[in-house]
Amino acid sequence: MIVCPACNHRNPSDALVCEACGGSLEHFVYRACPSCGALNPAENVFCHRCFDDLVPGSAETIVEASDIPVESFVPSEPSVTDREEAVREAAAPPVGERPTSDLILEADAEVATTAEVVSEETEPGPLAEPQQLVGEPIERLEAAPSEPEAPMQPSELIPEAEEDVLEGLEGLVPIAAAATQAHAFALPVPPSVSETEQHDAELFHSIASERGPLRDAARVVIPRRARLLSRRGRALLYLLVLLAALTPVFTGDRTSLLLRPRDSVTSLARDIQSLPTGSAVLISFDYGPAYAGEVDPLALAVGRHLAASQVRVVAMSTDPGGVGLAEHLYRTIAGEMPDYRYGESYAILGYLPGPEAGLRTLCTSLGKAFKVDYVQRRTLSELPVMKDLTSVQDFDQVIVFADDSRSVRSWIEQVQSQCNFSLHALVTAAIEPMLLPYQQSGQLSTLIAAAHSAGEYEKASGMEEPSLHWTDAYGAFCLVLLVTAIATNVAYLRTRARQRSHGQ
Amino acid sequence: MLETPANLLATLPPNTLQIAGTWVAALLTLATLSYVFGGNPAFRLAEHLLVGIAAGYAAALAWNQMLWPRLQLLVAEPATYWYYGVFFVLGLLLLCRGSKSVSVLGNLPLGVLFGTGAALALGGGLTGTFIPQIRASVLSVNPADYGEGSLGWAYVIDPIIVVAGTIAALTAFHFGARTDGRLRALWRGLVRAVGGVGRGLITICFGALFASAALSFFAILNSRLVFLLRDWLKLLYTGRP
Repeated sequence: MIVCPACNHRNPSDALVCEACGGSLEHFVYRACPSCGALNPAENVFCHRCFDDLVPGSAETIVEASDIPVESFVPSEPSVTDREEAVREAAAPPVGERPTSDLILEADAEVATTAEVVSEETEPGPLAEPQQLVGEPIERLEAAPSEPEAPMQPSELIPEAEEDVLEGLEGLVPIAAAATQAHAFALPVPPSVSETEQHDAELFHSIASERGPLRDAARVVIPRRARLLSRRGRALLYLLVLLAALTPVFTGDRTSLLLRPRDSVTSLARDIQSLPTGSAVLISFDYGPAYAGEVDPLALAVGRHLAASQVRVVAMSTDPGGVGLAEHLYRTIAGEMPDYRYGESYAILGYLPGPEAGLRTLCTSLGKAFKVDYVQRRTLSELPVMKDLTSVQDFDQVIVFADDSRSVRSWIEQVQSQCNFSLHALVTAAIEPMLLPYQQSGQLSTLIAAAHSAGEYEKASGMEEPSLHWTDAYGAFCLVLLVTAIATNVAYLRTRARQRSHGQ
Repeated sequence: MLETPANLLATLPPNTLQIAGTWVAALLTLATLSYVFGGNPAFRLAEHLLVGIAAGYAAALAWNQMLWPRLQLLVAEPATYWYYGVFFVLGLLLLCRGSKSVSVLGNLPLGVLFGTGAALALGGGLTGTFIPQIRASVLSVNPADYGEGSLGWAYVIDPIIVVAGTIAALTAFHFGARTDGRLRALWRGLVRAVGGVGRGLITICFGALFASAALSFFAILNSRLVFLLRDWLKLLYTGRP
């Protein structure tokens, strides 16, 4: 059985981690103090109880944690008789002498209690008082009043000591006693103290005797704040969101029939519709698989509209995951339209790294940015769809699908500000507010949040068979958000009012 | 021996790989959604797979799309594409950052990277964001510029809000109010009042950003549920995907 040094929990012998507190029990080595026998971590330099140096030569006292039986784990304590003798020796020094100034901290309340009993039994010496203090600060003991004494001689401190060892050290602290006297577990004899000091000492003792972790790291206890929502409240919220997402299963997505496209969506559809046959549009799929669920429906709707309008499409991406998404999307469209062939109607150039430098090369030459295409690995000049397309300025429109506002900003700062073309940004709902200033300044021709715009675009572009886009789900979710926001704010205000009334 | 797996795949039904892919995607989706019950091994597995596959795919794409074609050109026509060699060497020097003894060699390519990026970002930021946005915030607040009568007043509210809101939001970040002078109290009060309005507007903007983000995440959740119900369990049929 292994006893955890942090919490004293008794763990099985093969345990590597404490079952109670989770602390590691691997390779935990104790070092026994040669003076008091207390067990210290191997890395300690001095004993945590008696502050005596842990002599390097005490390697024979190193004990593995797994070898320590439970019964012997409790740090050894001096017996009562040993303490009695030690107290008597310390309590009865010769006249004019100071008691030893060693301060020994007891880690156990029982010792203090015993010491108190012992102190009552001893005969009070010239400096000793009946009250036994444990953990008394050193400065108090050192400041204890003592009778004026004559300069002490080493021989007076230790009657049996040799006289010529420390001769001439009159008036100094009794180094001889510390240097020559064998270390004894002696309790200091304090001077008289008041009740307040007694109380402080007991409080200090109780704090010092608490068994804390013997590790270097200090544990900071942070009070736990009350959660805004209890576990049940959060589960209820999750359930409501799930039901909102599944609303169209029950309602049949009737709201989509009532969709009226917004002006921005209608404007984009009109711009694409007005492109003459054979025009070229550059589409950048700057979003990853994480946001594909939100952007893909709108990208598919726009792609179908471009394909139906017989517009050449050149796709690329500044996001590594966007290239695969573009390939999947156009494979879907090509499967619906047999005449929509790769290399003739559309091409995927691939991934362009470097948000600033990579995009800047599009202004000068597409061939510098892309050596070969992504699917067939042919040079751009070999693809019929790339005829007369050498730089971004040769395209009629540029559409960017993005999930990061920095991507769209890079397009605006590095490409659109240099080449001045029509840029449309179809982005996730999360970043749409951050790009509104660019739309209001006229740098973006169109800014659309993709979350619920696919159905609107299909309606605006005159799609005969629109896909199901779960518009009812967005409406239900907005309702859940509204109810939750109102309920939590009302609860918060009521709680604050109640706290104020209690405080008054 | 290598023919056996190919022969085995050929004997499978034509949509086997697609079905297997759907099942893998569905199980990983469920593993990710299991986070509502707290951290668990399934979620951690999905999380580690996502990070690892994304990093591996990006590395493969960078090699396949960027490095390998240029390396081929350098080897085929070194006289024409000699500068690719310079950048390849710089890229190799960047790998020295992994070793303490030679990490100082990586300072040169890092300097080129940071210097080029900073220069392009600064120039693009000035011409693409700073100057156009300042120009766009200079709006007329004269109703006559927007139409006659009440129509002009109706349309001028928007520019007034934009101009006043921009000034108020900038004032909210003004922490250097003057502490001396005869107009000290007036200046402090003005900064505090206008800054308070600016902070309120900023708070409203943060609320709008949060709501937009919540809608975006809900759209993604919605798409995953549709995938599970329609493509995996085949419980729903909605026509075209």
